[in-house]
Amino acid sequence: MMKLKEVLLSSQMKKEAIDLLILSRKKGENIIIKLGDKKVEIHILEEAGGEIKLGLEASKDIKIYRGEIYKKIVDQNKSSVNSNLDIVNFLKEELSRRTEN
Amino acid sequence: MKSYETKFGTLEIEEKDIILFEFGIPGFEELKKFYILNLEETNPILWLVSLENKDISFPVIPPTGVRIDYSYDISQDIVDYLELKKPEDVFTLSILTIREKKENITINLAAPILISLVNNKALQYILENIDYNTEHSFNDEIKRSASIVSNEKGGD
Repeated sequence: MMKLKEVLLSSQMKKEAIDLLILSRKKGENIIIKLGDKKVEIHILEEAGGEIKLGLEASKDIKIYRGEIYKKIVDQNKSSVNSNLDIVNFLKEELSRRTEN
Repeated sequence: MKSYETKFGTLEIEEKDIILFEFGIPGFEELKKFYILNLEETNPILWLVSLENKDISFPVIPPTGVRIDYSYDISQDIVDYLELKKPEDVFTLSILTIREKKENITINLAAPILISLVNNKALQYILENIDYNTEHSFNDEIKRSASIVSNEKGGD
């Protein structure tokens, strides 16, 4: 696992409480995550050029996302909540104009 | 019928009209109970309103009204979870972000909100489709859809 100590340090700087289980794995080794009867297995496949290839085995109902993609959704949702209500009237006009054409 | 304090004031809502996000919404995982508010003044924009936190609501809109050719597959486990038997069983909404300037209104096409009309369960479905992102320009999409429609008409 790479750079977890740095992750921990930046979280401490933000004063966030974070519990990290830090494991070191070699190529060919794996990690099993269990919650009740659900399981995720992470296989360390390859490590080359600063990139680690992981194989993820989990039942279809477990959703796996790249962190930056999930974060984009979270950030977008948070931006949406701060939406400016005044603009909404403009949208109303714009849409009714389009549908009339 | 119960009273709920929301961003839009006190609403009287029947149990059967409550939308249940069992797993919350990314960024707001603790909020499970929502309501779709149809405000005449903002129509066709609807509001996904939290019934548990009166500061939280999202402007939303059915996406095909904005992006006419919006399409994606829903995985079987989600179809089963929402108990969908036919396409009309799901009500889809996209979250809008409305910023200061009207040119900056964006629609999130990367993660639609799926609401089951069968069991009232809902979730935000994150697509793997790279054609869609979280910040499509609302105006550009409307123009693009309008030109698709007029091209089809012209082609007859």
